[in-house]
Amino acid sequence: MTGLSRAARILAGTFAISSVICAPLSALALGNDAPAADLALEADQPDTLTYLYEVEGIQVIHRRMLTNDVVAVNLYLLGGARQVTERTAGIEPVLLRASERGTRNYPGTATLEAQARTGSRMVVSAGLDWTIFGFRSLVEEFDSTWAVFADRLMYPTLDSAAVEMTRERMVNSARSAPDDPEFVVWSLAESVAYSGHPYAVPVSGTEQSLAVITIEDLRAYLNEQIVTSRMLLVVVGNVSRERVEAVMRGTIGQLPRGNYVWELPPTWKADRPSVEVRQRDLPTNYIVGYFSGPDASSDDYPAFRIATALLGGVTFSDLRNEGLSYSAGARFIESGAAGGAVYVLTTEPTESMEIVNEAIDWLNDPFIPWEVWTDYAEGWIISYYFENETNAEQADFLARAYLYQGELRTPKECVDELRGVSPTEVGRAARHYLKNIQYVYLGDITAAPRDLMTKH
Amino acid sequence: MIAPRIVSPVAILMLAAPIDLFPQQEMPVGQGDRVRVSAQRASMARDTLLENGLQVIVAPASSVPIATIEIVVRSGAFTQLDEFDEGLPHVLEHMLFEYFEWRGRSWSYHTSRLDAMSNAATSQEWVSYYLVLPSENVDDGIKLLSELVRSPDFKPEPLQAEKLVIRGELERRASDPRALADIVTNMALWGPAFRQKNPGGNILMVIGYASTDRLKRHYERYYVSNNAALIVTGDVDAADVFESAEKHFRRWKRGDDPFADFEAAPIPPLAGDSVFVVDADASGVTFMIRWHGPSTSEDRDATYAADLFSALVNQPTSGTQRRLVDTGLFTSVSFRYITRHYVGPIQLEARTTFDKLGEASAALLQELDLMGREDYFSEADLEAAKMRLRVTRALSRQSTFLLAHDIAATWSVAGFPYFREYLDALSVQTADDVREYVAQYIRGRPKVVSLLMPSELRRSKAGAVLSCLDSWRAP
Repeated sequence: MTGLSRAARILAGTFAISSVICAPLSALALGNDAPAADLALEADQPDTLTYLYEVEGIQVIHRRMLTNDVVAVNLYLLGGARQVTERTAGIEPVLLRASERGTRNYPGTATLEAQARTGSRMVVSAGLDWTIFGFRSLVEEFDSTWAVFADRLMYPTLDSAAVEMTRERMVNSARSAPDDPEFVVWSLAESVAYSGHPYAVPVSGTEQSLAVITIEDLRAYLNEQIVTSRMLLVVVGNVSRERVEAVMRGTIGQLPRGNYVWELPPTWKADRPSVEVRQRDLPTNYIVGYFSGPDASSDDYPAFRIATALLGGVTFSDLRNEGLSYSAGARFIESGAAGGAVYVLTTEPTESMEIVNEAIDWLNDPFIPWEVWTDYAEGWIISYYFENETNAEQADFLARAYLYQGELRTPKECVDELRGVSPTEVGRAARHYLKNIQYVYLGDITAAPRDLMTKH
Repeated sequence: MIAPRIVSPVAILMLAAPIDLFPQQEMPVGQGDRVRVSAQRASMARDTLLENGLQVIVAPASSVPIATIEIVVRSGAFTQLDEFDEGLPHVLEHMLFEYFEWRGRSWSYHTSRLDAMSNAATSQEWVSYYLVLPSENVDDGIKLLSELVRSPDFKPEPLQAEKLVIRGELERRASDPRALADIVTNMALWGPAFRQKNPGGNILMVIGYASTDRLKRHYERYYVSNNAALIVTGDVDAADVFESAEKHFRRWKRGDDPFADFEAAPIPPLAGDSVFVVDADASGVTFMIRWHGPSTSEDRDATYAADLFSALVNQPTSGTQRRLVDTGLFTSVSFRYITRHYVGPIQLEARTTFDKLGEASAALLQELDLMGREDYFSEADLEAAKMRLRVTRALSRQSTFLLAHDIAATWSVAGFPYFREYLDALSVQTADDVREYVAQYIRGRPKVVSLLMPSELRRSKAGAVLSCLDSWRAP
């Protein structure tokens, strides 16, 4: 098979190819005082407007979306794994979830009843770099939902019944998660890759950590850590800036400032390849291999993203064409300490790993045709839009770009950046980062091809 | 005392495949007819019927410049009338891509030229193929899909290789203990009609009997323009799409109505309750309780009431949640109705821990009894449920991909007017309508009850398990 014909096959735009590229940013207006006349329309999407401003010390990214009736609000409580220890892991989601059982202005069941009347969905999502507390509502229910949202953040009752109920649910969830082999293999892969790194702390908590969190711990955390310096608010929907500012000033804008300073976590690196195997009786075997990536400010960042996506495309197409796997690919792990992961589900692990290794070798080849990169960049555009259709997805994309790369950019700038990456740069990124892969294998360990999993 | 039936997942793997290879969604999930007009464009869903019988539905709605194009064929598991048909609709779905060649190029070549993502899915009552692509490529995308469905080249060679891929797909699902328990429960729910509810088919039958000839016969019967619909959503203009569809699909020939002499396999009503344990490598205990629910073909009004009742029960503020979950007896309780032309299932799933099995089981039994009471829910509960469903649809409608799927599935199961009128139909449902639904389909009705639990617990705590099962068997 020639390089070109292989390239044609891997250009198949399937969902297996990971290809999130960069922020869906539109023109922005900086500062509180930008008059309406200064707002520039988004070059690619004439009916959306994005603003960046500050309200009472809280940075706000606000995308005015005119094409639907939904508003997504994400409050980013920064820190994530670096906020907690093994002992306090899970404290932030416990605090936020327990707040649904009563607040100062919505005592007891009134919180849930008020939410139910609006039909809105509240969100609590703990991640490596932050926790998202937010909601999705109809525009007409924005004010009502915001009122409950803010009260939950600022004045949760935290009585023992609420806390115990929340704790029990989270413990049960932690206990049952390993039923799913996909959860097991990915969480194991994370723990191996991030060993010794701040990300090693499980942000959602463990059975052990959740069991020992007390009400006093929660109140202390509320007083000390729910501060505006640790917040980024992102709003996407057809609500005006005036409306957002007004609700903020009357509620979360009154929280204490604190002295938190956001910074990226340290990158993680492995010195050598490794393999961890776990026996489990399954109809197939799961293989996941993590590799570290560059700093978000590095020139290698876009090239690394392309290299990861290409690895996924090659792996998927070759394994599928050989009938070796229905599910295979590579993911770009977008976090403060970025990386990637190659994965395969297969009943033929030895043959599959041979193909994965061939794919990595191929990416190291500096003579891959230029048209592969340019076509791939074009294909990524559709994936980027697909992964950012909803208001909530756009909100998260805006936040990640701002927090990881420190700036807001237009889509055109992102696309131009991708188009400007050369095959040489991708090959260099592949050679530099697609190595020292930390593999995890779940399934029939007698079939685990350990030698092949330590080749790169 | 009858010994509990214990079902081994290994045996299941040999007999059946996971029930549905399409991501299950509450049906229908899309919004109804009206979309708020943005400052930029009107976005009401519209449809037309081509001369060859192909229905074309366009729902403009997008915040990004992409579109989803989906062709749906009324086929799926329900057409698997004998054992040799098992898995055929699903295999054909895979093979259509393998059989495709246009201007000397493969499917992947053409989709990459359009910067498109593509995939397909087979469900109980539909098969669909879709592209997600830049809206500027919609016309070419419609043309490409027309080439996919109109002229497959039934070569024998690719089939064997693709069977391995299909097997891999089914094996992945079989790795999930919950998916296996789902299969077993559905086998009991549908009895001899299970084949018509299992789109994956029996793995052994698929590998052994799926042949080029059978695929071709299936294709020729069901893949005719008058048995399909084209759905386009996203950053599109309806008039342009209608014109494009007319241009590219007019050569797709109308065929005989595949359902003119079609006799769906009867779905025998449950004779009584069926209660058993499913061994699985899983923590905790899960109750999977299922009933035969309404069909859009025979009791359309009840399908709206069914969705409302599910939303009612699932509200965190509902009596159900307060009595079963807030008390700590269960970690979660969820209710669901899946809309189908041929008997939609009603599903209740409740998870608990083994130490609470006895108490939780008794509470759940009591809850089912309570569901028939006049005061089981209030008017405020009903209004909140309507609001919840309205928001659900608004949220899913943001995704052109999900919207296209919703329309496609609804078209096949109940027709496009059902989709268009859905929210209005929901809004006029009364508390009495919902109570009537409960009385007709749930309370006191035959059901299947399966308990998913770790085998070691089942063995070590056999007495407690037997006692629990006995309490569920009707006297």
